[in-house]
Amino acid sequence: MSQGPINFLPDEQTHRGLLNWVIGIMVFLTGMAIVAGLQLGIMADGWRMSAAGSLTVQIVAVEPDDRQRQTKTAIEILQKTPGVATAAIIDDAEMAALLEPWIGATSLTAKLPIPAMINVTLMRGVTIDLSALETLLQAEVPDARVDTHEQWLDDLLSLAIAAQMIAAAVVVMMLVATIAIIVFTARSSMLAQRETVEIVHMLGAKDSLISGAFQKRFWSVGLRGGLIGLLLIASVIGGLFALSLNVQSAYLPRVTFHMETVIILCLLPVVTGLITMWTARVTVNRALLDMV
Amino acid sequence: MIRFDNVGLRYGPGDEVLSDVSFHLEPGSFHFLTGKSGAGKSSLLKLVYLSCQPSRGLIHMMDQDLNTASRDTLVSMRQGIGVVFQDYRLLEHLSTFENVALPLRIKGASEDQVQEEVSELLAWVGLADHLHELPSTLSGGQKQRASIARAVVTAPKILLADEPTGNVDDEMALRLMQLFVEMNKVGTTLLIATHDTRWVDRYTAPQLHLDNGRLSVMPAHQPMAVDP
Ligand SMILES: Nc1ncnc2c1ncn2[C@@H]1O[C@H](COP(=O)(O)OP(=O)(O)O)[C@@H](O)[C@H]1O
Ligand SMILES: [Mg+2]
Repeated sequence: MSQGPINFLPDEQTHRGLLNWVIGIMVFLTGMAIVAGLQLGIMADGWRMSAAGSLTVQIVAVEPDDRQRQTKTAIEILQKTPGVATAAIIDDAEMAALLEPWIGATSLTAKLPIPAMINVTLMRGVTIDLSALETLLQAEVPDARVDTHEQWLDDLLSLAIAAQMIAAAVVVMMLVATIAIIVFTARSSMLAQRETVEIVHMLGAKDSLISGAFQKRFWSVGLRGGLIGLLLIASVIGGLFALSLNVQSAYLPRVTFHMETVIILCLLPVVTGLITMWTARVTVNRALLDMV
Repeated sequence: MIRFDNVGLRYGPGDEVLSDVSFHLEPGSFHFLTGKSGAGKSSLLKLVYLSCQPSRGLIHMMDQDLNTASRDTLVSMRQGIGVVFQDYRLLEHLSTFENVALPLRIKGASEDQVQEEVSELLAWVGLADHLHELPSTLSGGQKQRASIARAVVTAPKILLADEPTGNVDDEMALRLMQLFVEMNKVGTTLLIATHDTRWVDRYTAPQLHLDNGRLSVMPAHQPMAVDP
């Protein structure tokens, strides 16, 4: 005996509109946490890659002539070191530009004992033993100091990981709260339809047929809630993106959305529908066990 | 078909509503269930249509021990039991037609079968002009007839009726009783709860008589005792 879905539940349920919005808001908050977590991860990967591919060598000699000579030697050594792609001095103009925000546009750079900086980029995938490199350099360039970006990168990355974990915790809490809301709603929905459910049960309907009717209803509630949430996310992100285009600043990192973020966001309504449906089904099936 | 052995039923902590109820209904038999209001007729029927479990005792139905029957078994047993409720228990948001169609749809009947059998039956109980009306627009008697149509539409093995003639005029009552008798003739086991002794006198069927939760079985049609 095949049992297709039989629609025996009444159409109107006043709280359903509200439930759509509640789920929509939960999906919005969850989605924002997911976006934040994913984007942080992508940014951290970027930092890790750009930092891993480069290091800086400082020549801290105080005497300008000495400094210049040592710098020249260091560059020659570096360029001969296996794995180094480029080694170039950061020239005074660049240096001035870097320092300008802090000390102003002056020609102080010439007078200050600012160390010479050599920017070293490594070949793709190459890692270099830094202390070995420093020893090698210091044999001929006593004032060379090798500086990777590792220390501050580590700090930044652990900050990013902590933020990502917070985002994941938010997602989990949202999921739990959403499921709880659906459980309560499914129970009250069933209670409101108690007479109908009892009659249909008495007429010989299987539990799965009864829970199937609720499940169908909650699937569409979840899907709609998910779509509302997605719309909210899209408008907030779209708004932020538009604002960021107006801000003229080189310091703002370019906001880019990766495909995986977009795909996960687009899946949210369906996933929400499935979670809502499944939760309602389990809730109704359990409640039905109270009936003989 | 139905066998009760020392069945007791209590709702909550109070006294038993049914005590030591034992009886046996053969397949295809026809019994009245009589007794004053509050005697426990509806409660006994509830046990038979598997809407509650006895507090004690054994019930066997359709070759199943209810204590050990699985949930799925109970489902298929319910599909073989038709019930006419005292208070109709129609679904208020479904049309007359859909109410009567429901047991067929639950059993997985084809749409053709549903259309044919439901229309035919509703015409027979005089509701052909009310197919698409909601129960709330029907009179008490019309609801009664719709609920009877729902109970018999699947041609159940067991038909239970709780005061089925309470809200219809005599002519319709006769028609409905006639329908029950016809179904009994083709093999349906029939148990009709009533306090209306006219029917009991009219049809020669044995009675299960309840008095304050205790049951006694009375043989068919005892003519008024004549003083010796
Ligand atoms: N769901 C219930 N909960 C508690 N008591 C009930 C319930 N249903 C019936 N009763 C009690 O059980 C007794 C028998 O009721 P019922 O079976 O309806 O008798 P009848 O159908 O013969 O009038 C009555 O005293 C009634 O108050
Ligand atoms: Mg009663």
